[in-house]
Amino acid sequence: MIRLGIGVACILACGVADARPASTGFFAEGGLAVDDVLEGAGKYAATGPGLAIRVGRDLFSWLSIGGYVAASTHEATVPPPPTGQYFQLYRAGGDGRINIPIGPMSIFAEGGFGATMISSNVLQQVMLTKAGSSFSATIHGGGGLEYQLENRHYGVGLAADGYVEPEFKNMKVLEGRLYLRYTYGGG
Amino acid sequence: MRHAMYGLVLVFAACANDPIYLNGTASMEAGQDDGTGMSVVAKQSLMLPIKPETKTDAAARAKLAAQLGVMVPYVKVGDIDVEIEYTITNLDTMNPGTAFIDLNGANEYYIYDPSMLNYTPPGSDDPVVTPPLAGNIPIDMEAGAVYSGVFREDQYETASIDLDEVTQGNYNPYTAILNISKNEASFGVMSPSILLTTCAMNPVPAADQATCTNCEANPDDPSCGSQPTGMSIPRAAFAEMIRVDLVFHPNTHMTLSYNVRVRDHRGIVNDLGMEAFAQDPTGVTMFMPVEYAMGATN
Repeated sequence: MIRLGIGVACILACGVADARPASTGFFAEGGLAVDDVLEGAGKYAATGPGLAIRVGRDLFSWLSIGGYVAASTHEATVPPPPTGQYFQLYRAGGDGRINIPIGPMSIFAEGGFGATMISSNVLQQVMLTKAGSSFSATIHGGGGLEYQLENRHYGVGLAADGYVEPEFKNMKVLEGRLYLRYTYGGG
Repeated sequence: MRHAMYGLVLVFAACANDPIYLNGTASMEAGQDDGTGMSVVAKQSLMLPIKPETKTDAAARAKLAAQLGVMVPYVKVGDIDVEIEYTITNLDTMNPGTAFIDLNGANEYYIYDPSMLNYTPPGSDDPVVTPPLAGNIPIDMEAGAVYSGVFREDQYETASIDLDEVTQGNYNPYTAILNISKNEASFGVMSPSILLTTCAMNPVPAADQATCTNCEANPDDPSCGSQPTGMSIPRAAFAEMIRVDLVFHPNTHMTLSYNVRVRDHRGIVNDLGMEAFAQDPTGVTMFMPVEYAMGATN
C-alpha cells in the first residue's frame, strides 16, 4: 500500500513529460514504403514496394519544408496480354510538414506538389495513361507519427500519404512509409 | 555535386531501357469452318513505329557500310529487343483443340512469307513445306481454356537473323532456322540455287535448259545448289525485323490477342506507340520491304 502511494505521488509530481530534445536544422530522411493503387486503377496495378528520400530544413521546431524523390514498383494486372509485366512510378516534388511534439513522439501532417513519371505505357490499354505521355503532376497529403530517439539527431517515423495523379486519370496511390530521419543541426 | 550527377545519370540510364507496349490491332479469330471443310486461318501484321532516321544516324550508317563493305540497315539486330506476348482462348466450350502460332515478319529489305517460298526442286514429288521463322508448335487447349504464352526476345532476335540469312545469305530456311544463330558474329553469303531459281522459271531460259536438265536429274550435284560466295555479312550489319507477322491456325474455334513489347536501346521507337501512325505520321518510317520469293510459287 505504501509502495502504491509512493508510485502515485511520483506520477503526480512528474506531470507531463517534456518533449525530448531534438535537433532542428537541415535533415535527411530515408524510408521504405508500401504503395497501393486505389479505386478503379487498383484493378490494374498491384501493391508494390517503394523507396523514398526526403531532404529539407526545419524552419521552426514545428514546421519544416523539403523536397523528395521516391520510386515504387508495381505489377501491371491488366487484362492479358501482357501478363507478369511491371512498371515503376518515379516521383519528385516539394512539401511542407507541421508537427506537434508530445513527449518523445510527435504527430505530423504533411502535403505538397510534384511530378510523377511512369516507366512504361503498359497501363495505356486500360486508358489510365495516354499515348506518348508518361508524366503527371502530383498532389499529395498525409500524416504520421515520429519517435525521437535519445540521440537528438535521429528519429524514426511511420507515415501514410495519399497521392493523386491527375494526368493518369486521377490515379490515387496510398503509401505507407517507415523512415529514419537524421537532423544535422544542433539547434 | 559530382555524386548528384552520377545519380542522375543512373536514373536516366535505368529509364532508357523501359519497354513500350504495342497492342495488336484486333484479336485474331480462327479455326471455325470456312464453309469448304477447311479451318479459317487468321493473319495479322504489325509494323513497329520506328522514327525516321536522323542525318547523324544516316551518316554513321554510311560510314559503317563503307567500312564493312556491305549494306548496313537502319534498324540493326541489338537496336531493339522485341517480345510478343499472346493469349489464346478456346471458344469451343465442348471440345478441346490444338492451336498453332507462326511468327514471320519483315526487315527493312525483305518480307519472309513461307507461302511465297517454294524449296521443292522442280520435278520432285516430295513437296518441301517452308517453315515459319518461329512457332508452329502445337499448343493443346482444353475446351474453353485460356492460355498465355510468349515469343521471347531471343527468339525474335534469332528469327531476325534467320530472315537475313535466308534473304541476303540465300540460306535454305531449314538450315537457317535449325541453326541457333542468335550469337553468330557473321554469316557467309551463298549463291542462289540454280535449281530453285533459274530451273524453277517457266519457261526455263533456253541457255539454261541443259544445265537444268542435268540438275533435275542430279539434284544433289553441288553445282546445282547454293555455293559459298566468299562474302560474309558481319553482325553489325544484321537487319532486325521491323514488322511482326503472325499466323494463327487452330483446329477449333479460338481467338488470339497479342501485345508486342519493345525495349528500345537507340531511342528509335516513336513514344506514341501505335498511335504514331495516326497522330504523328511524319514521325514514323514507312518501310517498303519487298516480298522475298523463291522457286515456283502457286
